[in-house]
Amino acid sequence: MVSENTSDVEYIDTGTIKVVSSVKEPYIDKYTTMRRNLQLIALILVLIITIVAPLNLLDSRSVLDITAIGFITASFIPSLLAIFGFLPGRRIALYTSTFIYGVWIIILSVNYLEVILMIALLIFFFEVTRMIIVIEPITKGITSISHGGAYYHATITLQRYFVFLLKFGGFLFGASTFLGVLGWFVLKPIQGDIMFSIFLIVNLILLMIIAQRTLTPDMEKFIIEKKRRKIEEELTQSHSKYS
Amino acid sequence: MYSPKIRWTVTVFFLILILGIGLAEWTILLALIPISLLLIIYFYTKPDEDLPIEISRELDQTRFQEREHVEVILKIRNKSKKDIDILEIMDKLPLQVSLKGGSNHVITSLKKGEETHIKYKVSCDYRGRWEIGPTYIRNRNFLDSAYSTFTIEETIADFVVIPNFDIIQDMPFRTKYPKISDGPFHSKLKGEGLDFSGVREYMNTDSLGRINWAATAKYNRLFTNEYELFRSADLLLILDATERTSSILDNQIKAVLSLSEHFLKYKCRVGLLIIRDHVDRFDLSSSRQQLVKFTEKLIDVQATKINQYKMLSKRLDANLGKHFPINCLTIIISPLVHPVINNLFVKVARRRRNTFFLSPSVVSSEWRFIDDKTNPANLLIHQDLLVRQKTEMTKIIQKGVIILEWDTNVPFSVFMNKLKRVSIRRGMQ
Repeated sequence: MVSENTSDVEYIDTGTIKVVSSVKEPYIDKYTTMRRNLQLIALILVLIITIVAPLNLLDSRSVLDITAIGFITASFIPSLLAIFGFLPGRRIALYTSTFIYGVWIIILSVNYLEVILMIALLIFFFEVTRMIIVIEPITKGITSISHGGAYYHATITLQRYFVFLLKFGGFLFGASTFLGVLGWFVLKPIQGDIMFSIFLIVNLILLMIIAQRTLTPDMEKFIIEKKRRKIEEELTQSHSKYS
Repeated sequence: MYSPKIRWTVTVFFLILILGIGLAEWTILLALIPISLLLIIYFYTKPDEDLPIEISRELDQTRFQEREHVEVILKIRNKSKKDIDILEIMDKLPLQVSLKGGSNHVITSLKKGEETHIKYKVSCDYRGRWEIGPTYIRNRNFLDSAYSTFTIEETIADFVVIPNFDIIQDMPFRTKYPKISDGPFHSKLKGEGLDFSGVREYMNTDSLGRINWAATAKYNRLFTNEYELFRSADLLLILDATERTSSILDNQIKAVLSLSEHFLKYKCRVGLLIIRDHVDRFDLSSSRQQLVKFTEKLIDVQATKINQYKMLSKRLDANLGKHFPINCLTIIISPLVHPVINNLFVKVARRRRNTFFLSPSVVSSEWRFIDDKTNPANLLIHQDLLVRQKTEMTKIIQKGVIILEWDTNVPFSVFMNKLKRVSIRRGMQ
């Protein structure tokens, strides 16, 4: 249950060089640091979402706005529960807070880029918190899970996850901002009706692609069989001596 | 295969779309941009349907004793050219083993070409021939949007759990028909022999070499050491494995093996009859292989229901009459809970010259598993069962058969030792 931090070179009699890894920091410490970092990221994200949105309502005092502020403040507690897990029901807490934040952002955000970035933040918060919830049971109540221990596996998984997180965050925020800015110049001058039509067409195409890709095996089989019957019918018609 | 997460994301996507169009608020539709990107990432990071992974299992041996802890090692190597984000490995364990250390369910992450070992400990709880494996593998991406599952059949390994038995230190039984050769049975003939039996006053016929000088000095009279003879005999064990013995069968098997081991050690001839819906017979033999043969058979013995008692009785008679001498010491190991089977055994016992019953108590054995022992209803049932058991035993005792009742909460070797002490106190030896 220790991590390999430093590597030295050792010379063996035969002249061959052997790289010897020496252990320094226990995996449990490394894992704790990494998990804490993930929790910090999630906390910062949730703080941004919670604080930024009410700033829009500084001048507004309508019933809806006050209700919304009440909801968003209340959803801060489930989000904390999801991140730190001081009570059971972390998953439900995560879904609840994501739902409330999502509705809040969609309904009350007014600025063009604000909606895009806040939703991207929410997605990022959801994914990070989900990973915290997934990774914790690996180590809970288990002293040694396998060769190297439970903390070894959790740590290497988290190490790779951090690399992935950088790519994921980079793509999500980069592409969102790029599309947002592009849309600002391209979509803004277009009339509302035309823009809705464009959205509808794009989304229908997207739906078709998703439907194609997420076909279950039985549906795939059904479609293939249907195609085969059609081909057979065509072949029969074209190759029949009566045709 | 895609996980339900995609379904939920698509649902959210269209809900926002409908909301945006319905409210004619195009800023709402902007929320679709990051969600669309998320969907693209979901599809892009889908793990491969084919996972070139190598898994091998290391088991030290294939035969284990009951309650023995076994270390299982799984070696996992990623042979694909890609990193595996989240690899979930679950090694299937039979119900008859329990996990004692580590876990057979591991979540890890593997780089290309990386190898990892999973170690865990299981305890072999129940005798029998079991199978460990196959290994189930689930390859997931970090976002958990898709996964692929595999079953690795190559890791299936067979292993045998041999029933445990106690080593008996002292043997309380006597036989009416000892043989000439040396063995574990106490002979009535005292005087010559090798094993120290006690001290008595010197008689003028005694050899001077046997004088106990310490006792002589203490009491100021001459004392002689007395030695006794030990003889061997034939032993037949009859094991009751009918349906009502199922809860106590393991203890009975333990008793059979312990007794066999003890007697075979002294070169006695030991035979075994297992009474189930059929009769398994092992002829008398004093060879070392006899214990192995018994063990091999007893690994698989399970209590079975008997439909034809008459046929069983005939088979039992045929086996006993033809293959086992009438004088050999017969120990019938049965909990004596089935009246018909009891009659059958009593008939056998009365026909033979040297028989007694060793009866492990089913009631005390099952009482162990009752959680609420102070519950009046449980206590009443327990009392009732005890009375029934005692009644059944009294009926058998009245027919002139000896019963040695074994409370299975006491280990068999301790029980035998206690029995020996009781016998000595009663002056049986």
